[in-house]
Amino acid sequence: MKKLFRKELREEMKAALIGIVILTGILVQVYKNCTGHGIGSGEAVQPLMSPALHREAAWFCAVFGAVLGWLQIRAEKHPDLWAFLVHRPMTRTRILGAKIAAGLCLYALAAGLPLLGLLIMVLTPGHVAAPFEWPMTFPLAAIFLLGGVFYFVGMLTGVRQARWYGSRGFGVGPAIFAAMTVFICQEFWQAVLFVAIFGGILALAVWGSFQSVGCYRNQPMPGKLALTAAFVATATLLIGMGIIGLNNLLVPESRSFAWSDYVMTTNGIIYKVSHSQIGDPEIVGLDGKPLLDDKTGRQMKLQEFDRHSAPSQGVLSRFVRQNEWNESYMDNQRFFIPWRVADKTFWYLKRDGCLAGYDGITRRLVATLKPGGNSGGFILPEQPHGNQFNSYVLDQKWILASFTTVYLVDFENRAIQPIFIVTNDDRIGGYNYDSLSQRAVVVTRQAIYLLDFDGRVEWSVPYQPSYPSYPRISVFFLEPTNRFAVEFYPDREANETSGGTMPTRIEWLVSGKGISKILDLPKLPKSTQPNHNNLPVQELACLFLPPAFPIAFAFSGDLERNLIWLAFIPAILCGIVGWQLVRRFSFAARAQMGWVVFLLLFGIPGLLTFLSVQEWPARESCQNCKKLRVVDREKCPHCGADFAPPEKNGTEIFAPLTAD
Amino acid sequence: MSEQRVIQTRGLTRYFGQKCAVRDLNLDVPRGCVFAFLGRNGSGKTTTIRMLLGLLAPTRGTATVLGCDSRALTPEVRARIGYLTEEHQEYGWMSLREAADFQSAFYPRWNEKIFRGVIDHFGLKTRERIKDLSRGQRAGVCLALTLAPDPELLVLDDPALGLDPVARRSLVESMIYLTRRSDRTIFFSSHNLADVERVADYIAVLDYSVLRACCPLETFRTSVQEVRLRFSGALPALPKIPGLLQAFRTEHELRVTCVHYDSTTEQALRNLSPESMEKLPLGLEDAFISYLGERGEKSFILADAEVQS
Repeated sequence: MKKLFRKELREEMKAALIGIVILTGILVQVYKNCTGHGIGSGEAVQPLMSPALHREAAWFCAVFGAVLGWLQIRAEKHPDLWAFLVHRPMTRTRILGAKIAAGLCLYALAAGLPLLGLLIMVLTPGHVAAPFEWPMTFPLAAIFLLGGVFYFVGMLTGVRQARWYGSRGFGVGPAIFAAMTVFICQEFWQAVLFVAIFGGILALAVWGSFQSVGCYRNQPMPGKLALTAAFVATATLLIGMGIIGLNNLLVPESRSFAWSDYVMTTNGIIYKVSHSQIGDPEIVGLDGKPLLDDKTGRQMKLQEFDRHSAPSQGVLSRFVRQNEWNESYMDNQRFFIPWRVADKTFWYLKRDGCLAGYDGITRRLVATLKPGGNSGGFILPEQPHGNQFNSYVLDQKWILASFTTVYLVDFENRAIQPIFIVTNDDRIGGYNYDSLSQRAVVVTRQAIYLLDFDGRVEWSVPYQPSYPSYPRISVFFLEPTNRFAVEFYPDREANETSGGTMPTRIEWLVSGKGISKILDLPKLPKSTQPNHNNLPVQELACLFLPPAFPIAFAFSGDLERNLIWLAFIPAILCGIVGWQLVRRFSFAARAQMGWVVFLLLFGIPGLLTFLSVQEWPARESCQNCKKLRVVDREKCPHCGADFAPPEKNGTEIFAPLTAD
Repeated sequence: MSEQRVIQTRGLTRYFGQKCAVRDLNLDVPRGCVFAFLGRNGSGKTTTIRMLLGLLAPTRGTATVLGCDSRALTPEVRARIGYLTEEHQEYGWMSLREAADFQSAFYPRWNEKIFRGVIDHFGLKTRERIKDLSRGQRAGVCLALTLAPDPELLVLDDPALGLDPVARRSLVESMIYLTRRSDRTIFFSSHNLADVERVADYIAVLDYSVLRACCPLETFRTSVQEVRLRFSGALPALPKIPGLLQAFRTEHELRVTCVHYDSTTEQALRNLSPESMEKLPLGLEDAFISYLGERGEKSFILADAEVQS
């Protein structure tokens, strides 16, 4: 086995070296993009968490893995060389084992070495001006493992006896599903689990196909099952993509999109603005009268109306820290948020609530700011979703808050100064601020505060209706400047559950005088979504996907239940077609039953799979009963007769052969 | 299966799509013989060999090799079988030494002397790379790698294909050398009947996927008989003759080749009233060509010749 292993290493080493060069080039490019431009580049400065790196590494690993697997089989595809390989005192399982071990080593070399190089660069201080935690390596680890799944796709494609324009590449489905799960899964272990499942199916299919030189007929049962599962996945994927593609390509966007919302003007009046795809938005007061333009006397245009809308600051109360947001393991916000760049220092808000500053020149950690006491670190202000490195700190002041204290951040001296502390029984759930006006909205469990940057409370109102029913708060800055309005917006899900009985509440107040007016806004008409579904997508999905999918969708509420019956029509038709075929080709009784049940369960993708995996034997007329019989059965399935021996032509020469 | 039968097939059949490559092959190869497997191109020889070695699954029927079902040859049985493929494919990047080291790792009975002997016989050096060798030299390397494990059964698929006469002679000599061991069996396919005549004990002939002959070499040679009939006048029409393979007319002469020549055949020919009738000696090559050649009557002179058969 060692010799075979070494032979495989020697044969494909060239491919591995080419892979190293390509991936190194990709990584260098992405590394430069992440760290080269620095301030204002818009890139995540931690390369390990760069979406561009994830995307390009995934492409490389998938393509290289598949090519390597295919090359390893292709090298011995010539029947004589194949014979030279397998005709030796070794089981085919061990021969394949040696091939796979060598292939995976080469893959690890080609993909792993450059990635390891990147990791060493990231770990070495002075290269990357961004925080590092070991779980940041998980995305690349998952992508690296994904390449292994594609490696088996390449092998399966190489070993199968099928046409390229037919089902030769049909092993790719499970690998695509694995790729989807790697990028969709919330947690690393989930991604690894799916990679292991899909990779295991493909490895088993490769093993089975290798035993039978790519044929289905003589495979061991686990190989047959794995190959069938892989093909069902591919057929389902192809059909699903076909339906989505048709829907996107053929159907123009519907013009039925309509929605409305409330807008407050600087003088504190609320208007309902109704948008639709056709015509100008309609702006009416709460009394239903259209808003007229004073200059023209006609209905006011939205552009003009926007000039009168009041500036606002919104806060979404969460009462959780950043590390509790449950971002995906592939998202850098799980670990840190690029916060601000000040004097060539990159400031990150890390998931432990600490503000970390990295020097943009030396790329080393230069400062760490953390609130004292038991406040548990900073919580994130409202606005920074995504990379904030495009924002420069000039002379503005910046605010951060813990659960108990609001701080003014002094970037110059790398210090924080507490400006507001909540009472012992209270807790900050969210905040927002405007550096130009130097005012901050702070939402606690008990109240909503408007502060200035010296920590003076301009006003406060009780947080009523309270969290969690009303998590979103907006403060409108009206004219004259001592007038404000506070909007309490209900939680969408809770509102839908209650049947829309939670109105949006507005409270008007005057600074120093308190609340002057409270109003619950009337329920807005339900918005109509853009309807792309002129193609009956749900019906098509029922017809063309395995019946299990529509049934699952119906029970999860994603599909109308009365459409379930549609799923059974193709399943039954496929079952009938399959029954005809298994009878026609005289399958064994167990195989007949198995395939029919399979077709009933998997419908059209099942039929595609059935047609793809099976080899259909020739049929000849039985000399006894004259009916067509398959040539791969010893006895005629109709009359039980044996095959007649070849017809004699009178020139036969047979004589006994005696052993010496 | 009897211990005396090294290869045994029963109803062995293989289809490729709708085409039947081998039909109902029943074959018994005794131990310790040299067995030639003959037939025209596409008659199913290589397919049969691949089925025997479990490289191709039969559509129906069975084959046993050294007592083991060919579809599940164990590593132990494979170690006892040497197989030389027709195109002499090897890992071209290996040197002869590397190839020997590679192959010897799998075979506990690897005999370096045999390897060296064959390599020397072909005038090769162990440091040469296989990809740099000529076709004949590659055949020598393949033969060395096949013989060195000291196999009990040697399966050679047209080993002389594409070789020049010298290389072919070297190959045959190596085979003769190998047959010195009494319990060794050689099963080989070939188109070169001179080689077959030199080494084979038995032959089997496939004709359009069907086994038509399986017998000792001498039996085959004597079963195919050519007879020359001379006529003073016009040649008579040929009657229906059992076992007729070919008839060739000239102006006053008729040459008839048939199998199973016996008194009935002779009487049928005498009924044509020839002036003289003479049996001609037939070599294996002529016999084989007549046996597998185009059947019926041929003439360069009498365009309107009739054949009653």
